[in-house]
Amino acid sequence: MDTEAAELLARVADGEPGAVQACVDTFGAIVWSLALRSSGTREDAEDATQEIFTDLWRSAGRFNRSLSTAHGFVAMIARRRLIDRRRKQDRRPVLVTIPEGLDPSHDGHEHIDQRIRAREALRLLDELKPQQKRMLELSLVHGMSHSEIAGEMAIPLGTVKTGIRRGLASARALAAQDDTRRDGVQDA
Amino acid sequence: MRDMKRIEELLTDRATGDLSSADEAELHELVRANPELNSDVYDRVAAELAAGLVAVSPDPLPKALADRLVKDGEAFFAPDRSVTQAPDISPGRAPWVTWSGWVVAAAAAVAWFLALDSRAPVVEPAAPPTVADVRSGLIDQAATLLDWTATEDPAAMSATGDVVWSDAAQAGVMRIAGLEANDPTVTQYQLWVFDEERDERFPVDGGVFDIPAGPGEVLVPIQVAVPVTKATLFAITVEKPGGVVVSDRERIVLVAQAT
Repeated sequence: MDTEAAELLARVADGEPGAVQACVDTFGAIVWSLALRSSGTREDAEDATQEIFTDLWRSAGRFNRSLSTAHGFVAMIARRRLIDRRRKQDRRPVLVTIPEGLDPSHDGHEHIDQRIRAREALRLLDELKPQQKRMLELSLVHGMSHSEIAGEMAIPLGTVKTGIRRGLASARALAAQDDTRRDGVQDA
Repeated sequence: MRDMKRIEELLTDRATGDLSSADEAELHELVRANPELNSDVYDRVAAELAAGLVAVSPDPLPKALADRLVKDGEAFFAPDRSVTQAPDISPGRAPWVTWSGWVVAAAAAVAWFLALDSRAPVVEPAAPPTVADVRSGLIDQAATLLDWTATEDPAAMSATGDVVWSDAAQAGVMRIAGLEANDPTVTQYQLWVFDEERDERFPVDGGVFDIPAGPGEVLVPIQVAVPVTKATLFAITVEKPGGVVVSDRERIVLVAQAT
């Protein structure tokens, strides 16, 4: 679960033996999946993954569990590196389609925490308008620029910008509501 | 109010990787004018959603790549590496110099670089050079040498010095005098290297370091987190102990810019 992942970040920051291996095991799939979908080639994805893990080794000690989940923290490091690389390379990412209406509870995943994270993200996105949801998927998972999304969805760039801004703001508000509810339950 | 709406727009654009240079400058000013703002909030929301979405159908990390990552990570946390991450500058004979495993690594890089030029003498590995030697070697090879410009930050009032850097050797040394001594439990200095090939929002972390009390020069080796293709600007900021991943650039003390 994410608590264990959070503790793992502290262990790796302390240079604890075995923590590096555990970190690669725990976060490798997320980093690789983001890198693979945002990179032009598999080789680029491998280079990006190595850079991201170097960033992670340097930054693990700065993880603050009151601000984000461990997987979110790692994903933020990954996304920043991928955005940086993408600007540098100006390369169009390979599009990998996420199945519509996928039920993550029946997808054969081995790890329950993966399913929980997936379910949470999909639930938040399901609250959005379908067009906003698609825009955010293309941006966040596939690393597409706003203009690329406009081309992909055949809609004006301004519509994409507005949709992504509103979608992300709505997701933020929904997540905040969840946090408030969760805190309320814990306080009760 | 209008500011807040615009800030939200720019923060969401940044979180989705779609901020122009002009927008970046505008956001920087707006964030400076609104210090209470949590400017990472949309980056975090975007990251949490991205983490959740890829968990729907994750791609397993290839075994060979996983092995490389573990090997790299273990090398990163090897004992001599901890010394090099935050160079320990101890006062001694002037100029103060840092002696660490990094120097050996930098010397190796410089030796390799020098060896490319058959006319240049090859650094003898049996007698590892000091940071001062590394600096001299880089200058001899016509690496970029830039003078520091002090900002109006109180810590930088009478600071001077220069930075020598070689893109080819991926090595460099800062020479600093007159910069205010820091208390490492409160703040540390952090170097940032701006790379022409990278998004200027994310300069390369050049490492954290301390300035001891007393007169004299300090030589600080530069250790970049990732390769720098073409360094265009060096900036030193004041950060919390251990440094930061992304600086808010609130306290910039020294800047050196390539012309």
